[in-house]
Amino acid sequence: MPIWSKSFFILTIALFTQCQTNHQIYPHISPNISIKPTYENNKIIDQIIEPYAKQLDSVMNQVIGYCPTFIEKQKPSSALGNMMTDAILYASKKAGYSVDFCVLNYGGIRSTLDSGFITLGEIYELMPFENQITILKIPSGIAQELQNHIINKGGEPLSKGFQNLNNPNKPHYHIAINDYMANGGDGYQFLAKAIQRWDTNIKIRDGLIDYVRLHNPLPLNFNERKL
Amino acid sequence: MNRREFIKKAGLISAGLSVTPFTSWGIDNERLVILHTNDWHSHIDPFSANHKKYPSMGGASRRASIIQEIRSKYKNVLLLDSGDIFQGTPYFNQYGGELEFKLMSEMGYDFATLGNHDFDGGIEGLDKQLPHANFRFLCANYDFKNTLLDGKVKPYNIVKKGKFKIGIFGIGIELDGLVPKNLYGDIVYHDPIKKANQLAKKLKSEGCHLVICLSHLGYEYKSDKVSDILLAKNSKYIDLILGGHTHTFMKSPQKIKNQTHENIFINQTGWAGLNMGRIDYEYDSFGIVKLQNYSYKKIS
Repeated sequence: MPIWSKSFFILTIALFTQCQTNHQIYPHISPNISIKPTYENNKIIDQIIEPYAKQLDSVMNQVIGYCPTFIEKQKPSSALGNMMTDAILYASKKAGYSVDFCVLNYGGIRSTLDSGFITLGEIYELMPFENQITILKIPSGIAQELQNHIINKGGEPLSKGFQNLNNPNKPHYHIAINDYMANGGDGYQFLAKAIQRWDTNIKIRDGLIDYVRLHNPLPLNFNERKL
Repeated sequence: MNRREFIKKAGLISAGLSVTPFTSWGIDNERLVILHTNDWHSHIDPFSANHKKYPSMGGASRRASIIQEIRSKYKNVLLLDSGDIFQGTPYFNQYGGELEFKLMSEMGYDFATLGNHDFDGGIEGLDKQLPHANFRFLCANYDFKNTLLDGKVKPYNIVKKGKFKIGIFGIGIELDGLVPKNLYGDIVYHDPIKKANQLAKKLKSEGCHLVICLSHLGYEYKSDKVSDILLAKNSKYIDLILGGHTHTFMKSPQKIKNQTHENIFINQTGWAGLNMGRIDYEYDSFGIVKLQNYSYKKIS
């Protein structure tokens, strides 16, 4: 057998063996695709969406207020967080509860508010969850834990009157929060030690909608609210 | 001529001799294309034109066009989602996730895992929408016994695409403290890293060329809370983690060394259906030129 034929035979065997045993596959890494407006729509998808969108639009395009400027959530505080907590404080008082202040969770703010007319749909995006307003009566010890927790989180949205937390002579507080936090969500397990709890059955979203409707244009507070 | 050029030329020559990965219809059936999304949160429509951060960006319809375009070029496409399909726009509040599942079915999604917000309508709410999904849900570290989802959400699946045998499993985040108990009911959470390693080993031993973890753990935390990064570093047989939950906008997949100092990739595509990830795999066989970095050409 000529030498080239022999080596070809060995090479073939070697390749064959490699294909059989080596299942190594190589990834090709590419940048994540940004879904830009330059891409065309898909007709079939549009047809599926259409009846759903039509019905929804009629409800959600309703204008309910006016926002003077673009606002978004930030830490330790933001005009958006200030507005939302002030709105929930307002809703709680309107429902007859005596409340010192309101604290919401940063993670619960799900969108931004654009400048201009505010539609119902925007409030749904800001607060898509079905959470309700819960009022807790907490002793000063829990208030201290609350303060520490907020500081550890780098700030949480706080309403007017949050400075009350620094009052050393106050034996207990009434706070407005959402039921997600009251149930121990987002690290608020210590709120289970509250003295008393009132579930208002008022959705956070409904509280916001009512506040936006009644405060036109929306009053914005850009002061830093930090503990 | 250096080695790389030689291989390139050899590839071209073999292409000329019709030992080519392309069929006569121009569809590539040698390559596996993985497309994936996470946390698209009911963002069916694109953002509004006057949105400050993402004007006119995203949209399920455009996503479908991109997927369709890729499918027209590649035979082996795997379309995956890492959870939090639900919640974020009034579409969810009004229709409970029905439209999201219908659209994903039309786009041809293969598998998805469950995110915490997919329980926002409770187990019942999710179960009610499952008939609208013709793709499968996978989650290995939730025990669904005594719930409506028992038998409907599987831990893993092995799928064949062309000559690729792929093992896929899902990993969910701890629901306690994140989702109200009355919504997640009797679902029991198990340690993600332990479950993931057990399953990945099993899938590799069953001959899977590629093991993919669909994770809703989150990319990374300041605390020692379990995350995709921790999972990757403590894993052995996983090749790719497609993550979610932390809405992390990664520019491209990240390479990490696993427990045995082998490469593992993590990717996450942000939030609201603004982006889609793409990772291609090719065989280490002869005649195929290995591409390094290429970018996807946009559809005009």
